[in-house]
Amino acid sequence: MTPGGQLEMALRLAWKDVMVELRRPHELLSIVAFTLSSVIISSFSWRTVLSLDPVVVSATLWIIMYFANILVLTTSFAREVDRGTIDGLRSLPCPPIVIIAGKIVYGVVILVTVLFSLMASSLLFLNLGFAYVSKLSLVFLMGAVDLALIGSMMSAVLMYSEGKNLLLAFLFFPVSVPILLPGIRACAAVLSGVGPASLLPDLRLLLAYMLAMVAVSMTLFKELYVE
Amino acid sequence: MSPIVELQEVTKDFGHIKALRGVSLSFTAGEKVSLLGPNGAGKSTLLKIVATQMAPSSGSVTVLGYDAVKEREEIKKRVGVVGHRSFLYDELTLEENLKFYGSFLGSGHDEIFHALGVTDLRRWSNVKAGHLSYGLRKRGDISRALLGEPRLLLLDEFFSGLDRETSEVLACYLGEMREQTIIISSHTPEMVQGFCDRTVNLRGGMVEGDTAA
Repeated sequence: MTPGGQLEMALRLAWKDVMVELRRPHELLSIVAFTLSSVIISSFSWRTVLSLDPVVVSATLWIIMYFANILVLTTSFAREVDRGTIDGLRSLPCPPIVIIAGKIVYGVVILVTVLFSLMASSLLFLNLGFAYVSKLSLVFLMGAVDLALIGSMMSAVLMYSEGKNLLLAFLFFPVSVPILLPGIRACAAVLSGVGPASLLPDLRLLLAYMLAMVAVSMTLFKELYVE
Repeated sequence: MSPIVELQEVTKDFGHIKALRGVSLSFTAGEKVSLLGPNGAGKSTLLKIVATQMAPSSGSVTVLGYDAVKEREEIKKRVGVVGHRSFLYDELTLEENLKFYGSFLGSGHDEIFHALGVTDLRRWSNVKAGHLSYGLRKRGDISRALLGEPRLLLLDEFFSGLDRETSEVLACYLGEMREQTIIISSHTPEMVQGFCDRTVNLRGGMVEGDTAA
């Protein structure tokens, strides 16, 4: 099977997940509502502050993104297991890498939706300048891909665990640190108004972690997927 | 006639639990086989191994001439599986579900239309799977499993949870499938023995009996 064929299959799987998500929008809407309310609550506490600390704003935005990711990706494989459709996925004539790739693409699509609502609400309630949006979006997009990668893998690791939601909350944090540290730093740098060159080291770290997680997913997922 | 499925000394361990203990069986083309045994006999494990959804701990499994460990995808293209739980997504319509699964098997609109016709489900094609009754869902699962024109159908605990009338309708559909080899597991022999021409009894992960009907 060619890489192009595998990508096409992964996109079909992601499309199926997006369709399922859109037909039962309460979960997606609850995540968007969580994002909006978190930003609004932050704006309440900062209403008297004229100049916001970029590090604090950056950390706040990443905390929202982090928890939104947990809400999105705990269900990624767990839902398939709970409904019995995981065996349907196993019956598909495609390599396991296609299945995890499909879940990652789905995760990225949902996180981009969250990112969109995060940026829009930050513009409205945190007085975020329009000039920052494109650079912040780039950093968050890279972070979203990283989070979707590790979120999907963690969801696969824990799919048969009884206390998967609790375990995911605990186990997701240590593997997210290599995303959160450069992500928070890069966003703080953007909000401080520094030039693009100073973002590069952190963006490189995010890219390196992304590549490392792709390698881990390709190597380990097969072992998790075949019972 | 060369066997379509061949298992030799197959074992499957889950930690200290031995689900299969040296099972050797072969099935020829066109056979309708009922796999009987109490809960925990190893029926579902055996079917999952043949469907390549699970790897055996030891022994060899050949399905349609392909190795069940090394050539999984080739086997999956040629085998239809109905699990004891439905593989259909509640939020998608029956047709969307079949399009999704069929897209991995190269099934076009005509084949999907035909598969829905086999189980008399065309008028339900635009209904979400979550809104279908249990019996209609089972029929939908048969239609899904028929995509890709499989030579082998594996049906796990197919009749469990169905009333007698629905079971008879489904047995009728299965009985009409002359070209496919069907292996159907059940812990209640009454429903499956009607259209099966061979019965394999499993107990404690071993073959206890293998008789022609």
